[in-house]
Amino acid sequence: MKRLTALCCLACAALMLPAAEAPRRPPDPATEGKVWGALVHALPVAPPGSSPADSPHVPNLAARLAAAFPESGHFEILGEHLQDVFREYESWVVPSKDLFLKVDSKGPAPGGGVNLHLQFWRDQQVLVKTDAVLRPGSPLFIGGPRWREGRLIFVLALQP
Amino acid sequence: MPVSSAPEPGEVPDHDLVRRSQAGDSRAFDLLVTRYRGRIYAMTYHMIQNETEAWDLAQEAFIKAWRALPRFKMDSAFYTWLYRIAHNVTYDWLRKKRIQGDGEFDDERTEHRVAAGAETAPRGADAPDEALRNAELGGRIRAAMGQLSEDHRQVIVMREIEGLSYEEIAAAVPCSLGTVMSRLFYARKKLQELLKDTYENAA
Amino acid sequence: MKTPPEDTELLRWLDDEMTPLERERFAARLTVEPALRREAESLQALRRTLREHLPQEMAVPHADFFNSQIQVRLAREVPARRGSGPSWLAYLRLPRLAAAAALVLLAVLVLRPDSGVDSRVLATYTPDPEVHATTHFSEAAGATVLLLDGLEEMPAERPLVGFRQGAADQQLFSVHQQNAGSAPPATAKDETATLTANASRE
Repeated sequence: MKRLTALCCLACAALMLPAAEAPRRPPDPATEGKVWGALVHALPVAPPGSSPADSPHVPNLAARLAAAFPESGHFEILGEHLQDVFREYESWVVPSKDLFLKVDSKGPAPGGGVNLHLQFWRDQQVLVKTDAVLRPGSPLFIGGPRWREGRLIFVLALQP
Repeated sequence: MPVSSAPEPGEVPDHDLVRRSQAGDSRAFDLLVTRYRGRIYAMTYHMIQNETEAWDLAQEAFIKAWRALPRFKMDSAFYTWLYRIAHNVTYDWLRKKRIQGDGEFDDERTEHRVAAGAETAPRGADAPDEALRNAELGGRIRAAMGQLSEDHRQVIVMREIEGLSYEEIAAAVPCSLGTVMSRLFYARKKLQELLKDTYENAA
Repeated sequence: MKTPPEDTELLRWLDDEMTPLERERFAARLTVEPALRREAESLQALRRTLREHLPQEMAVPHADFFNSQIQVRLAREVPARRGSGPSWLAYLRLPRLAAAAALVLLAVLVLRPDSGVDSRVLATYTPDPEVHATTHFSEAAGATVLLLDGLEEMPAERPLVGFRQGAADQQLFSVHQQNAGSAPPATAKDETATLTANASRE
């Protein structure tokens, strides 16, 4: 049954593709746009004197992280990186030397956004490889390893 | 020509699988991938000495080969054609990495992990101390290869591992015959310096 | 820099690039020039060692996944070709690869159907078998969440050095030094987040 459903999804996708809206071309022909990556430390409670994570690159970032990671009450941006996504080359989003992302563009996605192959690295080890569609206004939160009574989260957002 | 893993008797010849792939049969292409993935992975691994990246590049080579299949006229062995694509993919990757170079970050990224046992062909059972010596020697050889420039490493891989002639190397790089010989000469000199005590003892 | 002529001959002899007559002459030289013979033997030993330890073929890690990933990418990137061959869908009849493809598609089915608005994760792979990836879309967060379970914890005593990098100015400076006591300086071009200033990272 699942296989039949999967086949139906594929068939529908194949039929819909020609009618899909042409992807928006970024102004720079060598890139697919920009991504903003941040390494966030999620803690159960806010340390004294701290302020919630905020960024113009992801509106309501702290509230959205709290919704996605309800066990945490406070989120702190440890580092951030605004990076072009090259069409022909790999890109590296490095908000920290300890946890970072390799990004390979697989071309624009129908309806806007970009198809990406992502590799989430810790030091010299790949933690996960993933194929994803990233769209503006819809970030990806990667729940990483625990650190100092909290968790490290990698935020990736395609910029409009 | 790079010595291809010719199909075993009874196996479907490469050109039959290529024709079926060109007609859209991805299962036929999958058989070609299975047949040559070991050779292509070995080549990318020897060139860039990073298991994860070599895996990705080997995949990329097969994807590019699939896309280029309509233009393959079967005027050479499939593996020869595939090898050239894989070589270009690998060399492009090395060149772009150099262009993008992030200094110390790049060095950390390319410090290769040698997964014990993952990269060598299956061997007969060695005595434990001999197995250890082999593993150590293999590590030293890979480290020595890592100390060559990309251009020098490339010609060593093509000549010593793939068995390409000077002309074939010159066509693949591309460069002149004189450059091929010059690079081989200096690459071997460098490897001799780095490994002299190891291979002379082994001999 | 050109290869010296005498080394050119040795190179060509070693690499079987000589004519039969040239080989014969060179072989004669080897018998009467001990230094040349030693160098030739050294290079032959080097070659044997290289070929023994740099195999022509290597086992591909996670070979089945290697193949199935290629098939998934081919299906996504290339429209079906015209021809008499069986379609990609017929490929699913192969049991092993059907299982692998089903795993990938299952990941898709778990998520919402593509709204064309939200980001989505199509497939994941964790090289470490102890680590497991799960994904879901959080309506409340308006974000796709990829969770990795089984990761080794980062040591508490390890300081994490964060950067603040923008494509505009490519400035790179460490925000959280080991003994940092002050908030990062604001610059005219700084339009990014106000980072939480935490004096102690140790």
